[in-house]
Amino acid sequence: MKPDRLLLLVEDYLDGTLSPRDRETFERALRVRPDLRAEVEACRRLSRLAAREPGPAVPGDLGEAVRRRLPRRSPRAARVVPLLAAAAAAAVLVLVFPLSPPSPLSSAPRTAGPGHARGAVSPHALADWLAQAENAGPRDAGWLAAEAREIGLLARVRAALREASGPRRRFLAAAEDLLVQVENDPGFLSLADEARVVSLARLP
Amino acid sequence: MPSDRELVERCLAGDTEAFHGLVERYQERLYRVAYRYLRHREDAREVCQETFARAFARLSTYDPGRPFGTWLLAVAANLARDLLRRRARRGTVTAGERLGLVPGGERPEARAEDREEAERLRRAVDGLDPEKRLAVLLRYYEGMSIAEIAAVTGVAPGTLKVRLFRARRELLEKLGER
Repeated sequence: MKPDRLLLLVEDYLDGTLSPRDRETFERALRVRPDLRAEVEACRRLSRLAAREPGPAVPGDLGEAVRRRLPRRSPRAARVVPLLAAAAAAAVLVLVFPLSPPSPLSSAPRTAGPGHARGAVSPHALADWLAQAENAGPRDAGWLAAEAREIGLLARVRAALREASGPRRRFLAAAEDLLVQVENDPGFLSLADEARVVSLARLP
Repeated sequence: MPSDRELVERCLAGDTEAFHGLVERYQERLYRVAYRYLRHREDAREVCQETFARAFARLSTYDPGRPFGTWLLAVAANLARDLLRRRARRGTVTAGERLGLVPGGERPEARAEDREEAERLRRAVDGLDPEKRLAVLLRYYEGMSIAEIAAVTGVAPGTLKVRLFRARRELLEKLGER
């Protein structure tokens, strides 16, 4: 069932984010539409009920556990180490697992994004893409997904997978998992960590 | 009391102790959301720790124009969603977790009748699919606006409103009110 427009404005009405004109329209409708009144009341009732649920007791040592987990150096300094590790991993990948020779796709224009300045798609498309994914932030997931689609990365990985064996097969299978995940959910925030796992943990 | 922005700036300038001010400020909320979403104490704890660790490592990418709490919740929500996906893939979601039967460590001072009514809603919320459940938790339990939920989940406001509308239908039906 697709709710009508006014029923979808209930949340905005309660948030107080309707424009004066929409608010007036909404309140006029409230006077004559019992279903709309019921919807507003349902929202309020759920909020009241939810507020009665006592929250879980936070573990007393959570703050201390977080403290133990954080590095002692500043975040700016802490960031340099993973970046170096990612660069090293990418270099290893290029050396050990070149995916395929340049294809006709390599002359295709690139999607705008941090990788755009790198020019044409490299013959080591997967390693190149993973290196970018490892350094990706939340906002990069969209263009990385678009880029993977544009250069047909998943299809190329699957084609390579058919002929691969041993550690290379395991690595490509992990890469395939990651690419399927990205394909299905480009908003995937921990993309960088997954890419790191694919690059490092799956290597022999 | 220093603002979030001040604490972030101090931390980026090398005063890592300032980050613990942010941990103190947000740990309860993060744990509450993660626990209610996952219904598993250890997993909720792990999500909280990992969220703070990632936030610390990526603090230099934080956009100070955005509320810090929303940024943290976005990281936590994604970690929790990933955890659920992995659990489902591994088939390690227990029946109790699926049905929300794991005791919640509630505070004893809550009145019995309030607890009973809230418990019925909790069970109904636990039965929602993960996307609706997250929207409901952030909206009705955390009292967040649609814009804030959109920022946390990365879901468009229109989609969120439809999701909440459908979740309300399911919840009220389970509560026997529709």
